[in-house]
Amino acid sequence: MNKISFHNLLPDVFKDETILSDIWQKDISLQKGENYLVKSVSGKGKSSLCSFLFGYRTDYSGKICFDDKETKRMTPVQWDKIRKDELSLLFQELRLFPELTVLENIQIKNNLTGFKTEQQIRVMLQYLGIENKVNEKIAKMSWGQQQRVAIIRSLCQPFNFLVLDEPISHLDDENALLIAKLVQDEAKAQGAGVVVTSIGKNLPLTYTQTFAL
Amino acid sequence: MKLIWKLLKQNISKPQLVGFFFANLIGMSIILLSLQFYFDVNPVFTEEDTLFKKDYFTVTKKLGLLSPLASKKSVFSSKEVEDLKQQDFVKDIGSFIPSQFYVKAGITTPDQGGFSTEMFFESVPQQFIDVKSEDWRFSPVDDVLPIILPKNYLDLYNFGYAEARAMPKINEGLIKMVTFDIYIQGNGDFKKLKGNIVGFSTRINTILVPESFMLWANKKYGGKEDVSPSRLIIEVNDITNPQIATYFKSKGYDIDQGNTAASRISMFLKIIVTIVIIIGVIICALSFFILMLSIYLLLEKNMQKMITLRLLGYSKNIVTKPYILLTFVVNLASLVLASIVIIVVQSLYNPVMENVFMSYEPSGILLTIGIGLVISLLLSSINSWVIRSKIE
Repeated sequence: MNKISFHNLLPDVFKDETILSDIWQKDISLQKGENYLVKSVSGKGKSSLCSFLFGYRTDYSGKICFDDKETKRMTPVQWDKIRKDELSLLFQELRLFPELTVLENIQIKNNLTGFKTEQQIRVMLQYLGIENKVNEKIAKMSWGQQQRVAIIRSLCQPFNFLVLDEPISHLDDENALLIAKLVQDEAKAQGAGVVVTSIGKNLPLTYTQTFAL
Repeated sequence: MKLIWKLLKQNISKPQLVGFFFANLIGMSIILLSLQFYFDVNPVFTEEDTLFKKDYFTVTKKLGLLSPLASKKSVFSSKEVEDLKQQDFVKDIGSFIPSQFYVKAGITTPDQGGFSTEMFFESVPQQFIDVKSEDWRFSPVDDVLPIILPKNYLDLYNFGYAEARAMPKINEGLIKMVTFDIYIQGNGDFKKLKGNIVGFSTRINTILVPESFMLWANKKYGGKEDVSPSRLIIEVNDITNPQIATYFKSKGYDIDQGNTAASRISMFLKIIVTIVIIIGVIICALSFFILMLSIYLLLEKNMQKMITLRLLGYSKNIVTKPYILLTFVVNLASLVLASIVIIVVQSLYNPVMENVFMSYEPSGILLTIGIGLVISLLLSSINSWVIRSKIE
């Protein structure tokens, strides 16, 4: 997948409203290898955009295409492959499993893709300062710590595009810098595009283009 | 897979599973046990007379007080036979031909001398007899005469004579290996033959020989005149046709359908077994719903986890596999236990049955377990289908 494009996209909830947006009801394409920022205040549909992009909500009009394939026409089996090998998403609500430990939460993704070694995972945990929590249950951790675990999980797979939905909403600037570097290195190594959403604090990356939603 | 199981086993309710397991075990045991009992016991009552075609009657005229004196009246005239042939329900008709010569049968043993008795033969046309044709034929040159005896004769010996004289009981297989000496005599001529019993009939009470022999022997040793038959054998199209009874009643004929008491018992057995099986099916169906509800609850509780797994890229097959495996394992485990129950219970009633019924032979358990397996797999498949259809 080299390109993601939106064609006249509009969430059903906005269909009776007058919308001023750089994405809704526009034709836009995102290229592999570039960084994009989607900024907005709360309630403009950032998480909806992510869920449309990841194929688990379809309550919109218009089209989303991966290269030239329309996503609404993809079968569940095709989605399985895309979510495993081509597109990675950091959910705003993280979607970690509270009954599993930090390492298990990451491994449940990595076992599927076999993308990183346990050593590499431990290095990333150490880099983000949570290596001493490896065997701790997720339920016992703060949201900021959970965010870091979820980010590492999202990096444990091959991808052409990485979508991060408010990745540093609960993190300090120091951690934000570390994460920015980790994400940029991985994206560069994979030649991938990065799409970041934000409601104020931006992940400090160099962005090709910024959209106001 | 280990992690997936660790995740998805959350919220599995053990009491619900145990409840299902025992309900299913009870239902399955009742169904399989009644089937097994039916397979074991039914053959005792439906001992098919394999020597004869299925749907036939023997027909005689009613014997009145004076009929021994007027023997003409107890035989069928050619006109009466012709009238029977015209009836819709009659598929085939044949007459019993009695022997018109002197017959003596005996058995000689090397050290004990032996015994002999006067007797008689009858024959019915070849097409009514269901014995392999090479066993049921006679040719004047080879001197071997196949014979079908009524089963009653053997019972009479085994349960009457042998009991009273403390003689060994003999079974059908043994007696078939013995050959008898048979003398036939008439018209100043005689012949010695070897009699060979090819089978026992529970349905026709006479000593049968091949018709070809009877025609040959009656001509050579018997009286000259043709005798009218006193018994007819009739094959019918449809044994339930009410016309049959009406016709015979109006003509004053007696019909003998063979073993009616046994077939009635067999029918009662079928009804009882059916009722018990229905109860088993109801229990099984209820237990199936318990499992189904339990799984629904489990799916609802773990739905978010499963959705997340799907979003992480796990296929539907992998996500549903733990629950599908669970239903198969629980269903098959209760089948295994039910099979053990059947084996144990069968071993308890077998000795009793063997005492009560001479010809009781327990049938194999494989058919029953096979049926159980089909039920079990069917239930598991429905469960799997429901699970799969709940997950997007």
